[in-house]
Amino acid sequence: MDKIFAKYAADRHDAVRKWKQKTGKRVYGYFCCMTPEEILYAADILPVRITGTGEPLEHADAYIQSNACAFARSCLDAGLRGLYDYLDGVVVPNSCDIIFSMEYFWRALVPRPTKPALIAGVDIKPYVHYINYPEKIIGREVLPYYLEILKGFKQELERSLNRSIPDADIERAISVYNEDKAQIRRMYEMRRSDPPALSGHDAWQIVYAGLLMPKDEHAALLKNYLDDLQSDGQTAPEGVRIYLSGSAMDLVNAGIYQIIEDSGGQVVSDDLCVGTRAFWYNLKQVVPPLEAIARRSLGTACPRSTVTTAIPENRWTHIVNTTQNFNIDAAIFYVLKCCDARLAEFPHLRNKFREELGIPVLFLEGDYTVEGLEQMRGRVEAFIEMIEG
Amino acid sequence: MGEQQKAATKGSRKTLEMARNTWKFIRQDYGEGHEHKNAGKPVVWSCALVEKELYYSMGLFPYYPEQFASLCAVRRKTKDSEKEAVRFARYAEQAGYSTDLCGYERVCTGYVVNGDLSDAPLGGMAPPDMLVTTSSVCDVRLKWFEDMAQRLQVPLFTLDRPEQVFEDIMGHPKPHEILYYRSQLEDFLSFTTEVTGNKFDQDRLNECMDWAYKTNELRLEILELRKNVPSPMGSADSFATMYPGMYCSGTERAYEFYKALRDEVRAKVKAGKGQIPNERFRLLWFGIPIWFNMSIFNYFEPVGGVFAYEPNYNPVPSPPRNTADPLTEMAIRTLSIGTSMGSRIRAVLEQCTEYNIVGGVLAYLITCRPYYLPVLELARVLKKELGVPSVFIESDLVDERSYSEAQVRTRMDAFSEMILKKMETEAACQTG
Ligand code: SF4
Ligand code: SF4
Repeated sequence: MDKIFAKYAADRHDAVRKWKQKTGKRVYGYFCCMTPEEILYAADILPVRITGTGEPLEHADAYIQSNACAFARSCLDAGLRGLYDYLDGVVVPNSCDIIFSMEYFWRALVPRPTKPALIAGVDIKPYVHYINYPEKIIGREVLPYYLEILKGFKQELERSLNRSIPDADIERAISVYNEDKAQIRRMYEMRRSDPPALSGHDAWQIVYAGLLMPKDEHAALLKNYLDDLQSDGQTAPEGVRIYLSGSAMDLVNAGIYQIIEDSGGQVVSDDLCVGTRAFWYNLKQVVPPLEAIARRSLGTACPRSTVTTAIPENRWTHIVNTTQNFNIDAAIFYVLKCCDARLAEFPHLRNKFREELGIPVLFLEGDYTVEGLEQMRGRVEAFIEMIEG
Repeated sequence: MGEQQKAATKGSRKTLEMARNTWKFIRQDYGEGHEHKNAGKPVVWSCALVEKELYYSMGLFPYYPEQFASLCAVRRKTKDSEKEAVRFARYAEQAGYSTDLCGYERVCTGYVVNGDLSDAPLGGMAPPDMLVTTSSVCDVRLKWFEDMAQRLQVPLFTLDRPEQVFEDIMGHPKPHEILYYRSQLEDFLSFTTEVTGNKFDQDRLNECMDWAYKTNELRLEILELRKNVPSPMGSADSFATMYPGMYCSGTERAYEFYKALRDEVRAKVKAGKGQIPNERFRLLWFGIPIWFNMSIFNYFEPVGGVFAYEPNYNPVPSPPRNTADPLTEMAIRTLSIGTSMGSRIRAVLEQCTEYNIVGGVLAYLITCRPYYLPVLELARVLKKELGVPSVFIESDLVDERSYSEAQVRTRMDAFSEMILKKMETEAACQTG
């Protein structure tokens, strides 16, 4: 794999700092794939996804209870430790109860590079930008409402940066992002073959690196990488074909890929926010750019969202879309403790997997530690062995 | 664990007549719901945060799974069996629901998984014709209701309520938020008409909102009375009497209930009577109560400690009535309440001063994210800004298997000792 992907994946802070030094541009952190990254990109900002470290907490324990999502606590700890001191701003969408609280924690506790600029009690250059992303993603008034939210976010950004962000620049950003999504989709296509062209872990690393580096660079690197892969006819080792569904997949949680591969499995598709949910659906370029962004977010079947249909099924539809033609043998749910939306939907989805797709399911409840993952090794091995028969 | 558990968890001693009357009110309400259903009229299972006037004006009888779960936390099937909440939670766990999930959810899901909806305290909730929930504050309610709708094959409506990040507990919602939420309310009405055939009648809604408004005014008055020293009505009485206001708001019977309650509290204040004869210090309870052990609210009484305030289930001032457009009024009312960590913490700080609080007992509800998330930070800010110390009570809110009486007692004893010592030192400084 290209060493730039690996570098971003392995030492993200160093890689981003170097980029910042080299380009002199701003970097904003964000929490969730609902963040309208294209607006940031259009404003010449590099948006990077905030993730945790998996290391023992140094500060966050004093502020946020140990039952809360270990991933989010680790993110906050990294912020408090100054690992993200290169960020010029932070974007917090209302993605889940825990991430919503980051609006407070990062604003109140994490050291920021610039002082608040208070006018009439309003910070006109906020460090933390909050996005009130709707939880019901289909409905009569949801689009105009969400457009207002995005407009407000853009305006806040424009004020902070003392510049305007013209539509034309957002449109350009969208096409850059679409090209990157197209390359990632191509990569997923190449995993439909048996054996897949590249391993689940390699594919994850590529998607993850894309959340930390400029998308134009990412798309170009990925294109070259996939071209080479195609012409070499290289493949990943064969294995039981696994569909992976789970909570935030960062460097720590991604240890699950290794365990699956060591056990004779191969992840070929997924329902992850660092995975299919981030790129499966393109942004339409026919509508005004903010509307394209809004439609994309509202079209994402995130576990925390709901729809208006009487018996909601959007989550299952996404799973059907992302399992079709991947020849899935089995599904593994790797859900963090405290990730309530996922924990709550699991029994329903598990039953659907079994009954409608005839696919066996393994459930793992993770605690965001390497040791915790290691303890799951035996269960993963036994599960894969059972499928191999 | 079992034996000690059973002995240790019990109800609170209430000081108000009306608090003792609430049980009758609840039993009657459950019964009425069943009669309503038997008469062929529609029943809704609703999240506790939905505006109740909507139901009463549309001819729906509401049950509230959260409230039902708390009911299950105190009832047993037979004298010797485990609490109903534990029985149901086990069913849910056997069906694959994580023990880390909200206790309310596990209990109600287990109840649904069990299949026989009448096999429960008070004959259970009458079978629903629809489910209604809101996105506010907690993701669980969104997913839990979705899941129940799928299991019961009953239509679901979700009111998407934008979270509000204010400096304080109340603020001004933005125009697009009001429009959006209003559209949700309208959609709810059309949805209900579609499912039940019942038509929307604005006059009927106004009537319910009048009752709700007047009830809210009474409840605000009660809150104001509760600031008196000695505390005439504590958290035990407040939690015991919240049912009509929380769940039956918009009805005349809720109004009558609070009128009587207000009169009772007012009379107590006039007579200078407190919750206990010798009140020495006043405490805050933060969080949903641990329903299976309400006796915790009397714990500090022997040393003169009373729970004087709890932010949960309490009213905030309503906007003026707008009979020409009650839905906009409702949207403004709902969206004027801050739901962010900052808003919620600020509100508690303010109220601690108003109610002369000297210590905080913070429920660290291990399965309820919106309530355990702020507790450490709240404790820190209380200490830093007001010098108020806190203690944490760790437990699920309805599932007593996670509760350790011994640990809680040790912590609370150390806490009250510390408060009393602090008071002595302060008194000595003043006289010395
Ligand atoms: S892993 Fe789950 S609980 Fe944690 S931040 Fe993500 S969605 Fe929220
Ligand atoms: S998680 Fe907390 S707020 Fe949400 S339903 Fe459960 S008890 Fe209520």
